[in-house]
Amino acid sequence: MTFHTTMKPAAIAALLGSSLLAGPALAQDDYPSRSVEVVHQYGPGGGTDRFVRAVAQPFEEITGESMVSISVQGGGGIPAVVNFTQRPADGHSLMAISPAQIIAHVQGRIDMADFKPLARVQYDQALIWVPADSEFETIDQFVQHAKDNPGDLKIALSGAAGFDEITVGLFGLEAEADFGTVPFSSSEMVSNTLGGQVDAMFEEYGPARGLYDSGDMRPLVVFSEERLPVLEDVPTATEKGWDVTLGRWRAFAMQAEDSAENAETLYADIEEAVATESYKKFEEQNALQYRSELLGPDEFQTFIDGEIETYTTVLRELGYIE
Amino acid sequence: MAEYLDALTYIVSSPTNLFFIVFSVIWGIAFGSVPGLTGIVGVALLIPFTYAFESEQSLLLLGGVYVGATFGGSISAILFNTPGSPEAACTALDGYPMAKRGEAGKALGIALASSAIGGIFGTAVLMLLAPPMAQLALEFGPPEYFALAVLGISAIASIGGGSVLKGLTAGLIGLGIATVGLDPITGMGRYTFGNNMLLTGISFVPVIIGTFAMAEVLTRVGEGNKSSTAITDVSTKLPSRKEMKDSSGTLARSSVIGAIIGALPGVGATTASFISYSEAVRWSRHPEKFGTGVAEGIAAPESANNSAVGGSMIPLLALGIPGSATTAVMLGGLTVHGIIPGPLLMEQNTRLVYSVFIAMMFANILMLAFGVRAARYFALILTVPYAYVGPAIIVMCMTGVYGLNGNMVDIGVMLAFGVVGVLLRVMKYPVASFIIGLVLGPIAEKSLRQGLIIADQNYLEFAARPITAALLLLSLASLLYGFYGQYKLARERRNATTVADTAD
Amino acid sequence: MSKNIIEFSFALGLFAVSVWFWLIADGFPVSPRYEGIDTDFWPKITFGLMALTSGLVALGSLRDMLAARRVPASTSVNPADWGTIGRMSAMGLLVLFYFIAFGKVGFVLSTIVFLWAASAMIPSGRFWVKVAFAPIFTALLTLLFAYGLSLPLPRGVGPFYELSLLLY
Repeated sequence: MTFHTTMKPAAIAALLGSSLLAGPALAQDDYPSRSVEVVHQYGPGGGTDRFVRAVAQPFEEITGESMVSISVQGGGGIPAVVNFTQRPADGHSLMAISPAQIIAHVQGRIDMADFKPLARVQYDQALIWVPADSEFETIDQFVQHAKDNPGDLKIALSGAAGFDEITVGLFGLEAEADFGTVPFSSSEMVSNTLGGQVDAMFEEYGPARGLYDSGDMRPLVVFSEERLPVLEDVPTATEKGWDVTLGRWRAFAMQAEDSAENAETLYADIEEAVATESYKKFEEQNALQYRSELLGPDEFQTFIDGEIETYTTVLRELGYIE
Repeated sequence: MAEYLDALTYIVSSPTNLFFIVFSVIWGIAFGSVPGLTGIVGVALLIPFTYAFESEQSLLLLGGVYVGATFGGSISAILFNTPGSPEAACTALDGYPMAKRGEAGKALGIALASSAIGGIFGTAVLMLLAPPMAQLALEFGPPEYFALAVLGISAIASIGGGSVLKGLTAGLIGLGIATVGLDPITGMGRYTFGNNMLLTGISFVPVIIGTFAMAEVLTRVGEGNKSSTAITDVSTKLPSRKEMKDSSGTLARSSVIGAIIGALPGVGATTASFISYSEAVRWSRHPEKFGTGVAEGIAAPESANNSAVGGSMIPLLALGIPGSATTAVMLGGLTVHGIIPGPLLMEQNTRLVYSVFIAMMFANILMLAFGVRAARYFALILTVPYAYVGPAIIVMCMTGVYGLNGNMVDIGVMLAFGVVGVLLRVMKYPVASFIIGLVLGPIAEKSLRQGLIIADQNYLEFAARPITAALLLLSLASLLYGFYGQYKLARERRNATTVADTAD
Repeated sequence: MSKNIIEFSFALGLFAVSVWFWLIADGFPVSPRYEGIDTDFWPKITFGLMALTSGLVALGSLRDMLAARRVPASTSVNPADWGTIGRMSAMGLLVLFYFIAFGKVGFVLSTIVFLWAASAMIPSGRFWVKVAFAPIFTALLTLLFAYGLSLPLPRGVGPFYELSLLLY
């Protein structure tokens, strides 16, 4: 911190020759003192981008400082992490993390120790969907068919070697059935399932709900501890004896070197922001309210440790790591 | 009809709505035409506003930007050989040579007229045929995508008046470069040489900006004092009726291709412009003239990419599937307003859907009016000495490419491809083939492997589907025809030189 | 240096690269789930074909080269071309320095210096206009990107990051 506070006026004096822009060295209790930038690896308009913006709106009203979503796409999220870690640890650079970072960590591409977990905000649940004209009415029929005809059933999912594939892979291991997986982009995943090119798809409730409402898709199983209140008839994998509850979560992390006081202040602000009416409305519109429970820095750290363990086991069993 | 009337009354009744349409088209043209700033950036910046306004208004806004940006890219492509957006990469291939010949105004006019025709056609398809088109799109599985990509790629045998082998090699370089980065199926890194930043792969926008814009600036600087490339005539003229009639076949074909490809999820305006360029070459009686500044070389991609804009709204409105980056943002905008995207959207939100139809029609017509004006302002830059324009283009490209993703690797890629672009030009390897390979290669690879997974690696099962088989046979025929055409051309040329030699 | 030699070496270079990349693809890690269409599947097809076509181009230009040996070399690179190559390389180098500075020093400083240097290299235009152009254009662009569009601009590292923070 001393480096930053002494460097600031020096640099101005040297390069601008003016004290116009130089304020007094900023005290801790002013934090956050400028806009907070949140780096993430997804495109504008995507789930994570909308998540950051939804938190940003009340955050701005609470703190008076803005929160900006910065999208650094591609490369399995590596460029986003590099962009994040190159920033100074002054509490104004955050990263929106998800299971993608855990997977990259387990694969040895990044190090979770670079992050200080701040708050897990969203926790989603995914389902297996079949088109309306599918012969499968229940998940038991589906699994039985896969057991009788190994590899015959093809499940469309989005992204390669990511969260989707790992969850479906774990499902196959737990159910002792062999499913073929076909990675698509998320829009092609839906069109190929609707068009009957594949047998089923793996998707969260929110994005698929329009197709459920119109009767074009039918959910068979939900990967969560409890049934969804809106889909009372759809069994969970757990009650069928398959321990698959992995869900996509979205969370904020700070730099590892960020101070604990800043983390506390920021967590309090975020806690207030996600309790507001406007955020709750956003959560409902995206059908994220069922499992999302806010986790603070310590609980979130414990959660991450658990996730790393789970993903390491699954990735090893699926043959992605040694 | 009642729906249209209702929607029309809604739009006209509020000055805000009309202002939004006008504003969004101008905003779109601006973002499309500035190199590095693409329409997607323009759309992304409007996201916060879409939260604040009604859902109809936010779609009007985004739809107009989409329409404007798709045309805007062609202005800088034609005047500076710097495609402002990826959809316009093809337009530079013939637009810039025509401008260099002193016919910049004509090139811009063709681009504008073709854009408007394609755009209006695409919107008409969206208005009249959205549900059946959506059903057609669902028939397209991975094998069909693969066949479509192969059909586009096969045209590289016909492109370029020079050697077939060089054309093929250039196309394969494009295909090869597209393999760098994460494997789309297994998620492993390819050709990263231990550098995880290279997992991003070689993104398309930096490559086209490099091969066109950077290479162009380097070439101009290399020329030194010579002012051989001064573009003088910049008064934008819409083509005459006769000229339009000459290109009518190309316009019709490209507009249809654009609407169909636009309606397919995952591929969009860029792919549409390349495939229709390939088709224009294939159907032309003078394929060797492409790349030297022919009207059809501008008309084909420009009508296709604007038609694809209407097409890409089809899966969004009819099925709730966003087929492109821009429509993904629109989908987010709908969700914010509590509208659940899905097959019921068209029934439950008639006013929204019909307002979009009408607004896109308006936007296309407005584009004609503003396009002429925008092109005129841009052309003023040509009167500024190159000592300012050249370096400024470099700075704009760097800043724009960085702004796109905040990724320094992208800038490195852009610079490297500036050198590659110069080399390809100097060594006479057709840049068009290279870019076609780069755009269509990833689609071909991904869909081939997806299709093979589904078909349990049975190649016969993969190909034995009506659309796939037909398209693949067509590509084979075209490849052979291309070889034959080039062979004939080479023989004529050899004969000509022998005649010349003996005449000496 | 004859044009044919350049042509031949370029094609040979492409051939060598495609063979090299084919061999790299051969060494890609094997994925247990996607046997038969693994990571190396497409690169091997692409680079295999590229080796074939570029090899044929190389052979063709070798044939032309041998045929041209009988004719006195009239197609050699002339001095004007060397001037072109020199100017292009100089600009290329300058852009390379700009790229490095862009990330390390940040947007504003690197751009002003680059614009001064680059506009000085190109003959047209007046001296004082050039001097004024660089900072004005940079300021306008910073305003447009950082304030108008709130898009990211590189801020550099260390002290430069701190300085950039004051500007945008």
